[in-house]
Amino acid sequence: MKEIIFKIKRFTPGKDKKPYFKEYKIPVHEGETVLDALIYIKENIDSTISIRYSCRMGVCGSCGMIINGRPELACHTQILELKKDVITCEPMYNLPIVKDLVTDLRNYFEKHKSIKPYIIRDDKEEMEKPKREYGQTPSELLKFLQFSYCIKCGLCITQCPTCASSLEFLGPFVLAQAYRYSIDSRDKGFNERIKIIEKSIPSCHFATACSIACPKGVDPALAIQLLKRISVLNSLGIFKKKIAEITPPLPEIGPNKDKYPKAPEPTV
Amino acid sequence: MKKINFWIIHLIAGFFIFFLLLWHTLYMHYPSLIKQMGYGTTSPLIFSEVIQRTKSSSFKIAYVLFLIFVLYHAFYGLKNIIVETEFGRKFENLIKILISIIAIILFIYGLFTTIKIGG
Repeated sequence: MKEIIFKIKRFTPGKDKKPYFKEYKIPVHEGETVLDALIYIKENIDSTISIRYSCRMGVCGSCGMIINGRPELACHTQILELKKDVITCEPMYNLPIVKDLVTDLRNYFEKHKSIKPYIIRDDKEEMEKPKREYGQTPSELLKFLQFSYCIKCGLCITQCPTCASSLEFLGPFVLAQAYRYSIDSRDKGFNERIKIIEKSIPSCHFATACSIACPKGVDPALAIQLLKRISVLNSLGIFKKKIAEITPPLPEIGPNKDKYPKAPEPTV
Repeated sequence: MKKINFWIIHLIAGFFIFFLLLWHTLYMHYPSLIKQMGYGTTSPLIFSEVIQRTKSSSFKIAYVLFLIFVLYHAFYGLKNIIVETEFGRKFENLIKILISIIAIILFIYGLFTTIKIGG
């Protein structure tokens, strides 16, 4: 066991004039994460601290914050691995603070929604009530697979110099998702997305800070560069993508087909 | 025109500036190399050579193209930098108009000079 001082940035909009640090000394054991420590503080020392978390295993992206000056997921950061006696926790930069360590990501979630982050097809009937899947080869999957690991935690936004200066810029994870869906062989929606993303594409200065910040190893800077490329090719009319077709139905099962139980009703 | 097309022109202008500058560097500062390739002269900076060159219509076209590419690339880039700031966002349309006017004035001045020098 070791005692560690946590310096937590506190701020309540409407009550505090400006953010300030408050210190908490707590016992820490091996294997404990920064999120564990924050929960300990909230449960045992100061219940007024606001933190946001859900899965506690680096999947939901709720507990993103600045730990010792670096963008990290609190649930994914081992305290003793930081090798510091004093650990500072701040809310994410470039985002409005709701309270203490909780930031407001709604603006970026709206932007994310605006780029239509889903498969778009001409056949509305099939989109609404899919009968079969669209065929996709492993190489077509690899074109976007790493970008689909994004958990929308917003840590890329905190490090992005363009997000710091431009409110209109869509942000790294939003543009990465625009690329993820646009390059998907099942998707036909690039011409719809380009109208929304065209103003943001040139604004990326390729600082690559977003890729360094990403806790899931996604490379949004690469996605934006690739998005720039397909946008240029599309504008010049030379962007070509093989569109996946609906796979043909499976062959009928043999004479014993009546023995098999009926498949459940589709849930979507 | 779509906003993205202005940016694509910016990229194309940058591409041409690179090759025009490369040509300028080789022509002006490595004349022996260019001479070996069958172009240019051995002393491109002599007064009479400069006058002779500026009378050539191919050079005039190259200069004017260079002027267009440089002005567009520089002023579009400048506009983007200013518009990203808080001040720029506030007066975006005004900045666009001002920058366009400055670029057009400089282009007219450059065009006039190019035509006048050669005679």
